[in-house]
Amino acid sequence: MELDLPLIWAGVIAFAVCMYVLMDGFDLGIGILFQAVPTDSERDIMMNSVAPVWDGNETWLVLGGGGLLGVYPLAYATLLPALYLPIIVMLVALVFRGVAFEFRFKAIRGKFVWNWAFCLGSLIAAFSQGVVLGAFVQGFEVVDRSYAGGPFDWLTPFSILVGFGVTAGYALLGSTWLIMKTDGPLQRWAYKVSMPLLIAVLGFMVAVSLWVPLLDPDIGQRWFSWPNILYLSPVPILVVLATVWLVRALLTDRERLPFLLTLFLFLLGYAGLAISLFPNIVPPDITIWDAASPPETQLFMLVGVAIMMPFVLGYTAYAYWVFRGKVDPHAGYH
Amino acid sequence: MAVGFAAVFAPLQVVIGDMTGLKMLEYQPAKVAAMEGHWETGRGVPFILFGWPDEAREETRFAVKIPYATSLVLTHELDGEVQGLKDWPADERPPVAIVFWSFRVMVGIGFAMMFAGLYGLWLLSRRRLYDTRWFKRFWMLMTPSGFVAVLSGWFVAEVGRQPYIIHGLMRTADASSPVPGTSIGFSLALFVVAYFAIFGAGTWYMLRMISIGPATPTLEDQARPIPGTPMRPLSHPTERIEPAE
Repeated sequence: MELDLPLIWAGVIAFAVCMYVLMDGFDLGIGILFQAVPTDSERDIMMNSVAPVWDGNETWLVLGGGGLLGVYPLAYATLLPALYLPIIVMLVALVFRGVAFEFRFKAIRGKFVWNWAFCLGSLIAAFSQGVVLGAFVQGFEVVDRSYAGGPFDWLTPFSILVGFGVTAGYALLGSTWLIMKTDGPLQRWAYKVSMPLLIAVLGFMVAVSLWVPLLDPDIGQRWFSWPNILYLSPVPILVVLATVWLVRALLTDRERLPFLLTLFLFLLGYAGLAISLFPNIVPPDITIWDAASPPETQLFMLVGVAIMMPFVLGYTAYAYWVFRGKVDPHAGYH
Repeated sequence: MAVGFAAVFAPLQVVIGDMTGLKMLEYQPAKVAAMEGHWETGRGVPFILFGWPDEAREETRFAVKIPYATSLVLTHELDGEVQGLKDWPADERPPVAIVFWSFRVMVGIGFAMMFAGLYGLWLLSRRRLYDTRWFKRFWMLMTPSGFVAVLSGWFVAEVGRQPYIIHGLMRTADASSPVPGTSIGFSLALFVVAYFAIFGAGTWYMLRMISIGPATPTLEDQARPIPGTPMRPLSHPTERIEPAE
């Protein structure tokens, strides 16, 4: 049997994007919540809780984007022009939040500037990612293997809704991360905000889940026809179970469980989208096989990934292991 | 250390530059011709030190030349043949003046770096490196030279390969994406603003660090068994850049 390289690569890129969303999700979430906490010393702790890992988290975005360019050039050449504005805005926002890590610890009088740079940068980046996701799900106008829509086609009520949804989701990841990594008043504060955030996230998940099948009758068909509905029913059922468990974990002051369950909720949402869209890489029509580069290129890049991925996973795991446990408010630079 | 580095690597750059030039002559001769500001194919070609390449008149005006030098550099023979820009139709030539001048800026800085390194070594050997005022000023002026040289070299490489994005196969104009110009303009403006803000803050911080100067170790510092962990990399362990409030 021949290797189905486009399918393998779809797995690799899906994995990279998934890692990115989960990992950069919580540190963007920290940024979103940054200006809501009462004191600067709490902000110091929040920032120190992600300082050792945040830039590693963003490397997954590079693998996703680089992989897309090398392996699905057609997808790269249609998606990026179509999403040009929100992606550029996202990148510039990431620039500001990234340098805020460095500048904030230097400044005293100027500290509030970098507080806002970190907060707004994270907020705008998260919202842009949600809008990009929403635009991706609703699909693009493609003629002759080239994007044929306007520069603002991504801007629809649906993509705005997804933008808010992703922002709320990241904030929940951030607040449950704080529950795990801190104690004292900051942890109490994180417990307090997690519950309303969870309610908001669920609201957005339900709204998006109801809206997506209406966007494209094929997607509705895929979810609700017999016997698919039977095979796919675990997804919504698991969402309900995870939510109930998460609410209990928050009410009983569990420390690690809320973060892990929020990650699990994200995975379920991600799986739901994958089920809706597969095998399209440029919805609604272009599949991963249509968009693939020559098999030689795909194989060449796959060898590289096969060598590098264990290293990346290894050092990532090691970094999290080294910085495990609660953040020491008196520690210096990480 | 910087003097030693410059003394070794600046001359090495000349050797590497010569090797790159020969490769370029093999693969992208039009770029070489534009770098030289050289229009007619011929033998025993002089090197144009300075001049004004005029694309409309297809000549380099007011040229100051070194006889035979281009042939010598490019073919390592005095009467070696070198192709001129007129060998290509006008729409296959890169913009000549940009390439011509960027190349001269880059090479000029390269020689200035070599001078800085070698003369510095000579001063060091005579133990006068640390009190030759004009030479220290010269080194201060050289601070941005690396940036400028790299950027102008980049100009030579990228402008010189026009009008192709994949040499000989695909023209840059055919490779552009369907993103409208206004979007590009918007993003460019956004980058300019973002970089001004961030480099501005960074430069301000560096100037601040320079004005504070290196910390003189006090007795207390020397008595301390373990040095303090800096708050961030590249910063004083104890000092803040702003006075504490």
